[in-house]
Amino acid sequence: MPDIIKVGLKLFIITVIAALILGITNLATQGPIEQQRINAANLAKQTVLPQADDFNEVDIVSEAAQNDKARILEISAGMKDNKLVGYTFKVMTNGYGGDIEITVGINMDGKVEGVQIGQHSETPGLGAKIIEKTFTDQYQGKVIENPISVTKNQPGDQEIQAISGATVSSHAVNDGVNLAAQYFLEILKSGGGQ
Amino acid sequence: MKLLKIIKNGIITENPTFRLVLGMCPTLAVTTAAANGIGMGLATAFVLVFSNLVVALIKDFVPKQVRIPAYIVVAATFVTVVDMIMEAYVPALYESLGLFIPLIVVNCIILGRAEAFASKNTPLASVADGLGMGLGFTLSLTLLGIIRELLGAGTIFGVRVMPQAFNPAVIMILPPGAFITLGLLLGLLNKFTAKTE
Repeated sequence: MPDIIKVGLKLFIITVIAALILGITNLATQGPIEQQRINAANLAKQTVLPQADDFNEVDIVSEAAQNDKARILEISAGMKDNKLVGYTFKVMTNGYGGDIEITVGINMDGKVEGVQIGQHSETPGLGAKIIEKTFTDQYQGKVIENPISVTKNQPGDQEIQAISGATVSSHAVNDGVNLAAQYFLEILKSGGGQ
Repeated sequence: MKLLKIIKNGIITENPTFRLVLGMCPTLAVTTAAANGIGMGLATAFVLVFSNLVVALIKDFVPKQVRIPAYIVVAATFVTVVDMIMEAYVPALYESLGLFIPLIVVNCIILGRAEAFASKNTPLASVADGLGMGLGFTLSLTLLGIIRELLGAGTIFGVRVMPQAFNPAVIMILPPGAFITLGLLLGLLNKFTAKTE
C-alpha cells in the first residue's frame, strides 16, 4: 500500500475517533447545557425584576424596538401570582469595544427596578466597570417618564454618574436603558404587549 | 525521582513563560488580574496533562508526516469535551473559566509539549511534564496578574491593598502594560540567572 494512503488512513482514523468522542459528549451534555442557559437567563430576569417569579416572552413590535444606538432582542412579562408586575428587556447596545448586552427591568409604576450587564467586551479596568453594582444600582427606582441622562458630576434625579475614563461605555448602557424605557412608555404601559 | 525532576523542569528550569517564551498570546491577554492568571493557568494545566497523556499513548500509531494535525485534533477534542462538560455540570466554574477554555486550543504550549516531550517519552513522564509546565505557566501568569492588578487597579485578587489615595496607572491593565511587565520580568530574570550561573 502506498505510503500516502496509509498515512491518510491513520489520520482519518484519529479524526473519526475524535468525532465520535465529540458526538457522544454533545449528546450527553446537550440537555443539561440548554437547561443551564435557561436558568441563567431566568436568573438575570429575576435580578432586574425581583418581584416577579415567572416570565413569559412577549412579541416585539419591531419599529419601536431599535434606534441607531441600541436594539431590543427580547422582552418578557414578569408575573407574580398570575398578575403582571413589570417587564424585562434584553437590549444590545454599542459599547466602546463592541456590543454590550443589558437586561433592564421596569415595573408597572414606570420605574426601573434593576439593570444588569451580560456579555460585553469593554476595556478591563475602565469600561468593564459598567458591570459593577455601584454603577448599575444608580438606575434603581429611576422614573422613566423622561429619558435618563449621563453626567460627569454629582447626578441629579434624572441623571446617572458616568464611570470616570469610560464615558462611551456609560453612555452605551444608558442608551440601552432609555430604549427599553421608551418602548415601555410607547407600547407596553397601556397594556399593548399582552 | 525522575518524575519530580521533570515537574521541577517545567516550573523553573524551562518555565514556559519566562524560559521557553511560549503561549505569549494568552499570557498578554488575560493577565489583567491575578484571578484571571490563575484561572487561565489551571485550565491550561488541566488540558496539558491530558493531551500529553493521550499523545504519549498514541505516539507509535501516529505517522510522523501528519503528527502535527493529529496532535491538534487531540488537543481540540479534549478542550471541546472539557468545555461542554463544564458548561453542563459546573456552570459556576464555567462562568469564571469559560472564557479561557477555547483559548487553550491555540495555546502553543500544548502543541509545543506534545511535539517536544510527549511524543518521545512514556505516558507517565508526559503527565509529569504536563503538570510541571502547567504549574509553571500558572505561576508565571499569576505573578504577571498580581503586578498588573496591583499597579493598574490597586487591588490583588480583587482586594484593595493600596491606600485610597493611590491613583491607579490604568495603562498597566491595558495591552501596553502587559508588554512592559513581561519585558521587565524577563529582563530581571535573565540578569538574576546570569549572575548565579
